[in-house]
Amino acid sequence: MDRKLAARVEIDTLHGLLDELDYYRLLQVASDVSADEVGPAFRRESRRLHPDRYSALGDKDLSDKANAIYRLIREAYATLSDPEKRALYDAELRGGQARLSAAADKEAEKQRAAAADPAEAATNPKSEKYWKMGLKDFKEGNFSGAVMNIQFALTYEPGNATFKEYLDRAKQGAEEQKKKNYNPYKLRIV
Amino acid sequence: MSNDQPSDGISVGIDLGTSNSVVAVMRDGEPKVLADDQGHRIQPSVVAFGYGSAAVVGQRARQQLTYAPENTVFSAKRLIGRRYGSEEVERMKRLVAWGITEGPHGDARIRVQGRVFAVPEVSARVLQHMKQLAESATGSKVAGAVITVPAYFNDHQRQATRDAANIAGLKCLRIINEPTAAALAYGFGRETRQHVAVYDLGGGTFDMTVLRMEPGMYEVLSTAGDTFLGGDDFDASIAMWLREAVERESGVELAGNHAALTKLNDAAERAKVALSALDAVDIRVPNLIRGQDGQSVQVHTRLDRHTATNLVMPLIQRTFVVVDDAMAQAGLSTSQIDAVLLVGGMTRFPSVKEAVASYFGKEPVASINPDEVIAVGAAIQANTLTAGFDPDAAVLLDVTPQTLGVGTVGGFVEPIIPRNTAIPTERSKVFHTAHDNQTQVRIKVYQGESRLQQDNELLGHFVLDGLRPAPRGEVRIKVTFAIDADGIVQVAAVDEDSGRVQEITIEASSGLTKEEVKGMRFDELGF
Repeated sequence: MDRKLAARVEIDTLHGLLDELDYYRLLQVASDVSADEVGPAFRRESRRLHPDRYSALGDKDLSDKANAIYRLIREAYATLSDPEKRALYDAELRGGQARLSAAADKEAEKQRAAAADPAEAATNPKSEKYWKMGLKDFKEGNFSGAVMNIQFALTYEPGNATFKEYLDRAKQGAEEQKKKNYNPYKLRIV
Repeated sequence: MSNDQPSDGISVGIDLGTSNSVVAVMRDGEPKVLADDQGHRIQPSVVAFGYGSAAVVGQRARQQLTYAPENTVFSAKRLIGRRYGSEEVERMKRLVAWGITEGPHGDARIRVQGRVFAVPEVSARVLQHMKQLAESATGSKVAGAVITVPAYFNDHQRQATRDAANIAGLKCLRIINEPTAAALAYGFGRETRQHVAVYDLGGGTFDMTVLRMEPGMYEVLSTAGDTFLGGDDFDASIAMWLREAVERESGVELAGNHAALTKLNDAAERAKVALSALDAVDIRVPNLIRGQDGQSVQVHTRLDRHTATNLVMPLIQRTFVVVDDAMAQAGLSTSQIDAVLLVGGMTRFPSVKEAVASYFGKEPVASINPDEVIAVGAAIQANTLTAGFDPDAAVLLDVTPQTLGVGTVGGFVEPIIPRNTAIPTERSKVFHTAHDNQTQVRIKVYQGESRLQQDNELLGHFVLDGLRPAPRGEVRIKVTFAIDADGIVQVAAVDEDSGRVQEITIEASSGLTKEEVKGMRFDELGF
C-alpha cells in the first residue's frame, strides 16, 4: 500500500478509537510498565504520530485529527511519567475513566507546589496565617520575627517538616544577625 | 529524502536576526545558504528610508547608517512586540537617532521622516528583501518560510513576527526557536544520541537551550533567555569607554550628538570584530566633533583584548545566570552534556568562547558556522513541513519559554501552563461566577515568571459574555489555554452546564489587528 495512504488509514483509525483508548494503550505499553520505559515509549510514538509529519500532505482534516491524537499522547506521557499523577490516574482508570480528571490533575499539581513552594506548606487556616507572616519575615531578613511566627504556626501543626526546617534556618539567621550587629563601642546618643 | 516542493514555489528558512539576516533552502537533500549577486550570504537587518516611499534594505542600507542615522532603522527586532514605555523601549530610545513613539494599542512604533511605522512593517521589509534574494538566487518563486525567533520571545513578539511575514506577503509555515534551529542543523545527517547545549548570543538576544537529540527526534528539555542582551550591548560597552575618553580629553559633552555617538558605536563594533582575531586593535575616528577651540577632534587609540574583556565581563557573567537556570530546569549537570554549540556572531569573541568552554569543561563544536547555522536549521524544518510525507523526517519537540497564567484578585497571577512545558499543549481551568446573576467574567492572561501581575507581560484580556443569570458560583466556565507549535497562545471557553462553546480570541493588547495587518500588506500597497 502507498505510504501516504497507509498514514491516512492509521490516523483515521486511531482518531475513531480515541475516546476508548486509555493512556497505556495510547503509548502502546503494558499497564505495569516501569517508570523509565514511559519516556522511550512516548518518543517512539512521537516519531510515528507527530502532527508535523502529516502537515506536508496539505490535508486539513488529517492534520486536525493528528493534532487531536498527539495532544492525548502528550497528556498520557505527562500523566504516566509523574508518579503522583499516575497513581491517581490508575485509581480513576479502575473506575472506568480513560482520561485523568481535571480534579486529580489539580490535586497532583498542588502536592508538587507544596513541595516546591514553602508558601503552600500550611495545611490548616490557623497555622497558615502565622506561617505566611513568618515566611514574610524570613524573606525580609527579620529573623527574630520569623522565629516567633513560625513557632506559633508549629503550635497548630506540630509535625510540619517545612515549618521545622525554616524555624532552624531562622534561628540560625537570628544568631548571625546578633553577632553582626554586636558593637562593643556602641555610642548612645541621648 | 524527497524534495517535491509545493508547485506554487519553494520553501525557505529565514533567520530574521537583530543585526543580520540569512536565508537558506534545501537543494537535492542538502541545506544551502543563499547569497546576493555580490556574493554576500549575510544581510544587515537594516532598513534605510529614502525620500518618498522608497526604502533600501541590507548591505546598501548599512552604509547609510553613518551619514543618515535619522533615516536608517536598525535592530528593529529589539522593539518588535514591545509595549511603549517598557524598560527595553526606553533603553532603545537612547541608542537610536530615529523616533520611537506610542502606537494606538500602546505598542512602540518607529517614526522616520515624519512617517510612523509599526515595527512589523519594518521587519516585513527585511523579510521581503530576503525573499527577493532567495528568488533571484534560485530562480524560483518563494511560497513560504520557516522564520526563527529567539527562544525566549513571548507571545506578543511571536505574533508580531508572524504579522511581519504576513505584511511581506510571505506564508509563515512555522515560527521556530533559534537555538532549536541550530540543533537541527547540527544534527542533520548525524545519527547519534546526545545531550546538546546551545549557547546563542546574537546581536540583541541571548538564549540557552538544552536538548536531547536522537535519530529521528529533537526534544528540547529546557530553554531560558534574556531578550535584551546581545552583541549590541557589547558594542555599547566599548563605545561608552570611547565616549568617556573623548569627553575627558576634549571637554565636549556628546549627549544628544547622534552622529558622533553613531560613529563611536560603529568604531566599537569594528574593534570588537577585529579583536576576535587580533590581540589589540587601533581605533581611529577622524573628524568626530569640533572641540572647544573650534578644532576638529580625532579619536586615535588602542584597545587590547584584555581591556575589552574587562569592559564586557559583566555582560558575559549575565549570560551564565541564564545558563545555570536552563541547566537546572533540564535537570542535567555539565558533565552530561555531550556537545556544546556556539551560535550567533557574538560567540566569535574569544572571552565568550573561553567562558563557555570552561563552564562546560569541553571545547564547543567547531564545525558549525555561528552566523549561518540558524537559517540552515530553519530550511531543514521548512523542508520537513512541505516536502511530502517522509517516514524518516525528524520530529521536533519544543517547549514554551515562559509561564502562562491568569490574573487573580490582589494583583497575583495563577500559573496555568508552566514554562518549559512541551508544545503543542493545552490546559483547562474552571472559572466560577463571584456574584449573583453575574453575566460577565473578565479574564486577564499573563506571561512571565513573577507571581505579581505587574512584573509579567499582559498578553491581553478577554470577556466571557452572556452567562446565564444564576446564584454566584453556580455558573462554571471551563477555559482551555492552548499553545500551538509556533508558541502562540489560543484560548477557548465552554459553559460546563450548557456545553455552549464560546469562541474567544485574545485581542492583542498591543500589536496589530487583522485589519491593520491587511492594510499594511505590500502587495495591496503595490510594493
